[in-house]
Amino acid sequence: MTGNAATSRNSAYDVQMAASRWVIERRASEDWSAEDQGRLDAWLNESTAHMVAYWRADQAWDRTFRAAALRRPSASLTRRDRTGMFKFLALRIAASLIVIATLSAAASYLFLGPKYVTYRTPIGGRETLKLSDGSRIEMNTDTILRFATRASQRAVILDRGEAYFEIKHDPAHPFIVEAGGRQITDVGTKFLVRGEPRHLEVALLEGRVLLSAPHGIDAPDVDLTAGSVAIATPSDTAISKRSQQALQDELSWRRGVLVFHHTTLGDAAAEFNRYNTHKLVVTDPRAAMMTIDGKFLAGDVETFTDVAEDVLHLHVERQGDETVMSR
Amino acid sequence: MTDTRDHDRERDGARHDGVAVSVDAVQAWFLREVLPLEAALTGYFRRNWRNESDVRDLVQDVYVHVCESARRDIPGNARAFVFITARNILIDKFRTRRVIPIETIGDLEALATASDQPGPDRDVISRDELRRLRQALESLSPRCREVVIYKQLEGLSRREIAARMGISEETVKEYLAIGLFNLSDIFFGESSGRGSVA
Repeated sequence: MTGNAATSRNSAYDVQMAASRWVIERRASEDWSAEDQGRLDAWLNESTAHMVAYWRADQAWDRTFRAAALRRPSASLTRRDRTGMFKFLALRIAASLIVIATLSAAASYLFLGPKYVTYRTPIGGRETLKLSDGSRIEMNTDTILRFATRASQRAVILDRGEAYFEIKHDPAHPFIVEAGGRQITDVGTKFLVRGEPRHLEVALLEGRVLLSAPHGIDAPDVDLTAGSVAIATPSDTAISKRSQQALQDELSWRRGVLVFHHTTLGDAAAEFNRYNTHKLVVTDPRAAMMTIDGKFLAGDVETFTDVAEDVLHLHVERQGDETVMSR
Repeated sequence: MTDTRDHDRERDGARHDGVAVSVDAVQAWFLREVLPLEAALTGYFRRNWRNESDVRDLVQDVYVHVCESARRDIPGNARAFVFITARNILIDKFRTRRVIPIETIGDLEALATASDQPGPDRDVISRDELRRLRQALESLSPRCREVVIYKQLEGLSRREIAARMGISEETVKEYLAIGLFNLSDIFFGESSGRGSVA
């Protein structure tokens, strides 16, 4: 940061054009070397004007990417024509797959006649439950959760929807979440449980939990550690690793935000539909396969349909309680 | 090296004016607080300075000045600081021409006190931003737009783009730089695309 306005005789136009070239060199090159970095640093250090112009162009580059990065359906995407669970797994686990374990054996039911308090959130709703031990449960949209009042343990049944748990560990009173026929036993941690019609997703942000085997199958609990994501179906458990950033994105609903990263339009529409009574319908299968990136407010369907219209060039038509998107 | 003892400070009557804030902190402050003001700042200079071709330089002068100040101490009210700096720069320029229009000052008061209201999450895509992106892409020449879309939206490498379009990698780079220059203006400055090079 040397030099000042009075001595920087280069016109702002030239400086900004040079900064744009540097950002392109730096951000869009496949072979950026330490030597290149040295040259860039030298240029940046020549004047504050250089540095500021670089920050500005770099930010614009990010912004372009974020604002509406769309990808036309590529060959690998359009070929994907499988159904149900397998398609889901292919989509969610993709490259970072570590283990697919098929477990077999029987699970036991611990919940014998306790008393429950039921909490629900409506579509688009969000609620935080603060427990007396300092633990927190954040319920996402359209969620039903029952809390068991028992002396020996803390137990929650997630009947529907999604909840994020930040649990204070207490070895004398383990915290158990039951969902999708499985039990998740907390060992002091932050984790997310999302119930879908055909599977359950458990994502670990910190600490450890034990995930029970499928009901009726005699197998040991699966030990999940930070960064793990388990997809549990009635018969299988698949475990993958995700980056902290990916997990934080998954939790963006806690701020009322949806984050899409190479998400198909079909999945993105389904995600919006979880939060809104006004539903999005993607009729054209080719349109449903287009992918998008970006962050949206969960309740702001209109901006999302604007993206579909302006950026993906889809035909968008509002019909009563639905918005239909097609090519 | 900057060992200031109490009696030194008393005698000097001022704090040592060395660099106190990291470059990273200044960058974060600039991107968060100052850059979003670019459209307003550009508008201010356009209204108050006759020569359109100087506006880009004037905005740059403000950026340089506020960032160098921020290296010593991050200003509490970025908006006020930016527009006071803008006014001072204008006054300096007017002085050399020996005319200072009165309305410059009044305009400033309104700008410096207007509050900006950040949304619940500044990163969230706004409809306005989308409109700007579309506008920005449309303002580029067709070849330039094609390159930017291939790179940013489809994630192709420079080599792949060059092969697909039958142009050299150097040309791809130049198109990307021109595209980025224009996108920066449209995202941060005024959306008229003035000064476009595409």
